[in-house]
Amino acid sequence: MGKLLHVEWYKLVRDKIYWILLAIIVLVNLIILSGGQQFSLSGYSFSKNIMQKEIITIMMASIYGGLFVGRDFEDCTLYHEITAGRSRIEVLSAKIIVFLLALNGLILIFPMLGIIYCTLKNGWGIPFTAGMQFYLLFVFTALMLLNCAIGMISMLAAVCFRDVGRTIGIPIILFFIMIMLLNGKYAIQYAHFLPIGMMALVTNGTVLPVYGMLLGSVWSAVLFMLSALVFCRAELR
Amino acid sequence: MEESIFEAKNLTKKYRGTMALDCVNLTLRRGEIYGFIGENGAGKTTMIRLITGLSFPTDGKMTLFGKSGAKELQKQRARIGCMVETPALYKNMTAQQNLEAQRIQRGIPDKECIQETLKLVGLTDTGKKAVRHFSLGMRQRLGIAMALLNDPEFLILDEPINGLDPSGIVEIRKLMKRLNRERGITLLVSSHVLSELYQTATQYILLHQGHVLEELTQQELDEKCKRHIAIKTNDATKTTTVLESTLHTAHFQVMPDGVVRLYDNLDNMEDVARVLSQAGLLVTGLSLAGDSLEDYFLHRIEGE
Repeated sequence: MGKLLHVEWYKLVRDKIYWILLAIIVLVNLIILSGGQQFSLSGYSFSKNIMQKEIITIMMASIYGGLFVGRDFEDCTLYHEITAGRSRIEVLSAKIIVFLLALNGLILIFPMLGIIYCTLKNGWGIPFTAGMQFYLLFVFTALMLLNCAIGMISMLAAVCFRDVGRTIGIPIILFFIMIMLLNGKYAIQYAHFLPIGMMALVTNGTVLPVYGMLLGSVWSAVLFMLSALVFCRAELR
Repeated sequence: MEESIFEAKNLTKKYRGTMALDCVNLTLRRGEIYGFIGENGAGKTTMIRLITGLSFPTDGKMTLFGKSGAKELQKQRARIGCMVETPALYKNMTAQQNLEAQRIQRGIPDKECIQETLKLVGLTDTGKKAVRHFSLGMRQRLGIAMALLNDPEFLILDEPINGLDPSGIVEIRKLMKRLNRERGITLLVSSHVLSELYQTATQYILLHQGHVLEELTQQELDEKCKRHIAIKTNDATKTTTVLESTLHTAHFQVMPDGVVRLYDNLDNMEDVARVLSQAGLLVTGLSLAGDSLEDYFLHRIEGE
């Protein structure tokens, strides 16, 4: 498993598309937020608002999921590990772990940079107590798990369709459906079950981070199991 | 050298009603170069996919290096090197980076093997060029290098000379022979270029519509393909006596079905016929036979 993680990491670090996308995400966020007052907020206030403005980032990160995983299927490079005698579940797990780390990097890079910038410039805004530190840790963990749930949609699409086009396309379609649901009549209700909606609820303090962690974990686990089920039985052509 | 590397017993693979492999029984012995011959859809790549674990059998049993069972088979696959259909390469990386990824994944401690393998396939001067800018031939060589990196005991190459120029074909042929001779690697090579396969393989497996049509050694193939006059008479023994006494030749062979194969006098068929008739033999068949591997294969599948 260690070797598989190592090789996935090796590939990620050398993937120019990832670094270009990371730079684009920071740039796009800077452009979007440069017109408003976001950068004059305290670090705490910035952290409360930013995730609601990260929809485009999440979508762009999902596109990378298609490239990172779908490309491996399309170019058959994923088969190296299987023909080398690795178990399919290990191959899939290593790919998922590195992909989800990469995805979290893409989604959380700008909020992290923004919080650091606003805190340095305008201060944190409220007393930085031990309780606050724990709360932030929980929020951060919840966001990471919710990002994982979003990323796992790309992963499931990749193992089901095994090409770049549909691996990018399907998550984007689902993404738009989620956005429509979250702008409809029952938005609050849906937000409690959909990862993107839960992100906003966790960051603005409507629900406790632990609910976000729970929802993210459940979605991730279910999608992982489905992906594993499909991949372990897949005829790789 | 007789140790079996791979065995298939009643191996069957069905794809939604299509029988890709139908009860195939096959044994591959260590130290041989197997030429895998068949038309498109004969089941060659399906067989390779089953051996390499990319696909699962519908029925039957496989044994790899003496081990069977799904988990054990998968473990044994670490001893295989393969290139299935097109070379699977990381297109955004260089040749060296591709091999480095393979080295990490295979857990090979010595980094030297990368340069050695690149040298072996003639790709030492590609520098920082990304694989996406490689020619088809270069990709093919790199695919072979990826398969060779772990110093496999059993090397499976599906269409290895696709896209190679004539000198590349010669180099790869020499490489395959050298790997077999010097390292004792068993090779299973599938190719549509039968003339090329003929120069490399020591054993042939003819596959047709999911069945193994025939397995034969190079010697047996040569024997079958050798140009000769096939003579069918009412008395095979008398025929050989006539050939020896009248045509002064011992260059013939009596086949189990009574056909006498005469390997000389190929341009004198009329003389042969006359001599046999004059000796009172009833000649029921006299024809020039002998094929190239291509012709032989075509005749075999036409006969099915």
